[in-house]
Amino acid sequence: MNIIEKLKSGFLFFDGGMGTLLQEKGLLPGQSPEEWNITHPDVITSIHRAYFEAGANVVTTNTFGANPLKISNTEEAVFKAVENARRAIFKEEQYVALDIGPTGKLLKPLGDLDFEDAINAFSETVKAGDRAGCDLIIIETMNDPYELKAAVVAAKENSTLPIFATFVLDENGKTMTGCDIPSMVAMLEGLGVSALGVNCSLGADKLKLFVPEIVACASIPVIVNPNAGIPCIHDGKTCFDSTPDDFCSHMLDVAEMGARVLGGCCGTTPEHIRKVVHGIGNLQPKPVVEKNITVASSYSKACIFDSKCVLIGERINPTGKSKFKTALRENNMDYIISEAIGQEEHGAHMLDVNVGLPEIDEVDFLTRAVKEIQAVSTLPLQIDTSDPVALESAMRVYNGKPLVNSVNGKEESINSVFPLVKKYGGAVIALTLDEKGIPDSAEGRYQIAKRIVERAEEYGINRRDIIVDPLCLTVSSDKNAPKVTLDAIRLIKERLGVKASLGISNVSFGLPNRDYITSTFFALALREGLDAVIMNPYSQEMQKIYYAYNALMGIDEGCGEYIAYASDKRSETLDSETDITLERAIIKGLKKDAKEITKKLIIDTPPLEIVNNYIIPALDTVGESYEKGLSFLPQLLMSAETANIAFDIIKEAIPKDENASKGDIIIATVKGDIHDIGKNIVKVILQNYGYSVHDLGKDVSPEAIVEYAKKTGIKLIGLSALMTTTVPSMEETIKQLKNYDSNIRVMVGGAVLTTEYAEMIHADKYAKDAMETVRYANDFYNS
Amino acid sequence: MTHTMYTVSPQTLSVEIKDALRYLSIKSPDEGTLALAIECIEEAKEIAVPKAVYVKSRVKIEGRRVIFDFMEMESENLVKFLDGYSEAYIFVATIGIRADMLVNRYLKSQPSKGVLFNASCVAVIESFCDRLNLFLTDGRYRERRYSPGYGDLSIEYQKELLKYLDAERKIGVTLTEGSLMVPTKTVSAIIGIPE
Repeated sequence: MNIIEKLKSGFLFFDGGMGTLLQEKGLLPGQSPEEWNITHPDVITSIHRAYFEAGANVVTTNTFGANPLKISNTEEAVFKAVENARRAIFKEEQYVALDIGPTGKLLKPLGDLDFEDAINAFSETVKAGDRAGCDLIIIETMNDPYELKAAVVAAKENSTLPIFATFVLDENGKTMTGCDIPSMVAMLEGLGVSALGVNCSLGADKLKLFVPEIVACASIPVIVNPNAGIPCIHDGKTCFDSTPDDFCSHMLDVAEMGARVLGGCCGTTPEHIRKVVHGIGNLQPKPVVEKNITVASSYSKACIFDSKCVLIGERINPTGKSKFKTALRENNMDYIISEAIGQEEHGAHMLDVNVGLPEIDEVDFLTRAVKEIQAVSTLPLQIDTSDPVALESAMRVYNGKPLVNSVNGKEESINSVFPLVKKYGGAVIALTLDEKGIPDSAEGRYQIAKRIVERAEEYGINRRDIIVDPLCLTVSSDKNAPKVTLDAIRLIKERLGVKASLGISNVSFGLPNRDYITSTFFALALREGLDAVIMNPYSQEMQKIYYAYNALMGIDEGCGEYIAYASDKRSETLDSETDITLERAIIKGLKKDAKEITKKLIIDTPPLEIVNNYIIPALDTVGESYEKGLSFLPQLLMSAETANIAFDIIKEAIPKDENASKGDIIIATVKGDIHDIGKNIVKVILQNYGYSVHDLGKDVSPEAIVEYAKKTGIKLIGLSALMTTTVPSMEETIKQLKNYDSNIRVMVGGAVLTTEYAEMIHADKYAKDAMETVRYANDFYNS
Repeated sequence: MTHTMYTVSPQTLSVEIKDALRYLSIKSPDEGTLALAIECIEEAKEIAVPKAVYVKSRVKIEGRRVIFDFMEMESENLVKFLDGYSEAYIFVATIGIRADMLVNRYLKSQPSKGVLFNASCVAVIESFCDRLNLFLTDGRYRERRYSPGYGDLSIEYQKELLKYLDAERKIGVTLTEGSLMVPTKTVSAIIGIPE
């Protein structure tokens, strides 16, 4: 019987802890346990043997830290470890799991490990384990879903063994990075693991509290491997962890709740496992139940397509938006991020991400956009592209289970999209069009939807992951079009049992006050059971329909969300002072006032006059007050944010060719340093003073900075370093920049720097704060 | 030698507004800054997951070297700091990675809040360390602790220290290539145990 058959036939028992037992045998804390695979093979085998004798079906190899980022001899350690485990087998139905723990590094953007480098590291362990002869792979003790995804992708790309995956929860039922259970389950099931669950961190008494939620989400077997015997002091009180008997009684509860794979983690011993195996005796596990849940997830949130319609923000899309197109051409990621945050703040549940423009490299840009957006927004993303290469690249780096926009009835589309969904996981928007175009009838659109669903199932993709968009055409060109769409929604939902979505704004194309039409159509579609809508979250008309519909249909409990929404609208009157000037609004950081006043001013005042007579004097006043210590950083930034709002309005009024920046500046936090707060502040203020800031980010190598300077010809560069240990890296960067071009000027800043230090490393200027950077830039560009 | 885990409920941490403002050298905040600071501290406490792991070790001093049970550190400052103590606690404490995630977000969406939120998170981790400090010294010392990176105590010791404390597995603390701890709102430190 192979491991999957065994899993279907009943409970599966994993082993318990390894580390504590090794320490009892003489391993010193801080020493590498993997080394013992080579130096003490008999000790390792005897521990595995003890677990098999206790009744475990699966032992995990002593390879928790066996990856090239932690040890130098991964392959040898893994081979020996597998050999040691296999030698412990003494009867049928005993299996060896290749154990994969975290890399010990946090992935970018939080830490300094690149996602692809993580995949490469895991791949080495997987390849070795696969060749050494394991029965399955267990990826465990994962704190970060992103790293877990990297490990699963590595396992899938380098082995065909079944993959089990467990993650770590804290007392709040979330991973360290804030990922909740539904999101974790969505991502792992999407990736196609064979079993999933939790391990480590908590004892069985606490971990069991989360088992019901995991079982409720998962359509595959659930694993629970808790700790035991780890001393902990919480709020001053010492907690005693469970004895083997306590452990066993909690694990029986866990089994009762529906978990099927039971074992232990840190501190558990063969005795713990023996008790559990005996305690379970002849009990049969609860059956694994398929859950009919359609879900997309981010690193922290799951968006479930349920009774309430899912609002998918459409604003990250260049179609018909000249400002957005300019942002794409200028590689202006900040613009895209602000669209993401803005839509999230306006109640979007998900974000569509489309950056397709003929003249940009969509593969590169879409991938970066996904990375940047998921670093700041908690919303799940809908990856919107017609380029399969861009789609794969974006799905790969996506931290969660994405929604893919879109597949359609054309064979070419099906054959390029579905393999990616199978590999990386995802739900898919399916458009009811094919080689012959869009059928005129609801029946015709249903037929295409049916074929797409069937083809998905042939690829092993469950129909719950198909969300059909029956397409809405413009009412102004075909008066019957909206009715066909509404009929199609009903037909498709009834007959196929799948979810339906609409890209809704198209219906009103060509008509004045489009919102009236779009939102009314939205209401009608909701009545037909629409599950998701791609829409403009800033549209009040759409929001009104959404909240009012939910209240009227009894899916907004106590009208709570409606009340919160409608009351908020009422209170949106200004917090303004009367008779305020733009200058004062900026100084005081009054954003709404600044917006209103600028809108009025722009009617009859030349844009540059507003900048020179109001905004710059205001910024100078705040800057001066900041430098004198009369006001502080948050106020300086608050004024900067306010000035930005005014700038946004003014920019729209300035003809393109006059919109010249005062000059270009490259800024970066140097290699080895991941602190970028100071650099980000400098950026905000420089932008305020009209500079185009090219922000290369943090932990940037000297070579990358020189390369960028070469490419752009920019001669003014700002470098930041916070630690004494990273100043040498700054020095090296300056050296390389000056070697390339002695006319380049480098200004430096950061907590440990001083004027003397800056001179020592040959910087041209030490700027103690953002205002000093502005002054140096002014001097540089005016001289 | 046992590793002990130490946690507290974040809401029980005392974090004063002036603590957060101090990191931005703000002595007399205006009304807006004050209101934002209050909001930030509340939010920082909400998302903090304070966790620490510590061990006790004997201390032996030989010249410029301090010899613990598990590692040695060379530092005149540390020798001075531990002078007269025969035992010490070594700990790593963090409030978790979500603080970093939110700081990043606010710096993009609203920089003025970003810097205040960052300062609030620093205040929360420091308050957590103070609590641990008091706990380990039976209420004798609140802030007396010494960390790699201070004075002449090299930051390179982080690697060995974190490995010994099993900080990655126990509380999710990792190191970058440049020996910086991530989550960034993390403190590793040594405390002399008063007789």
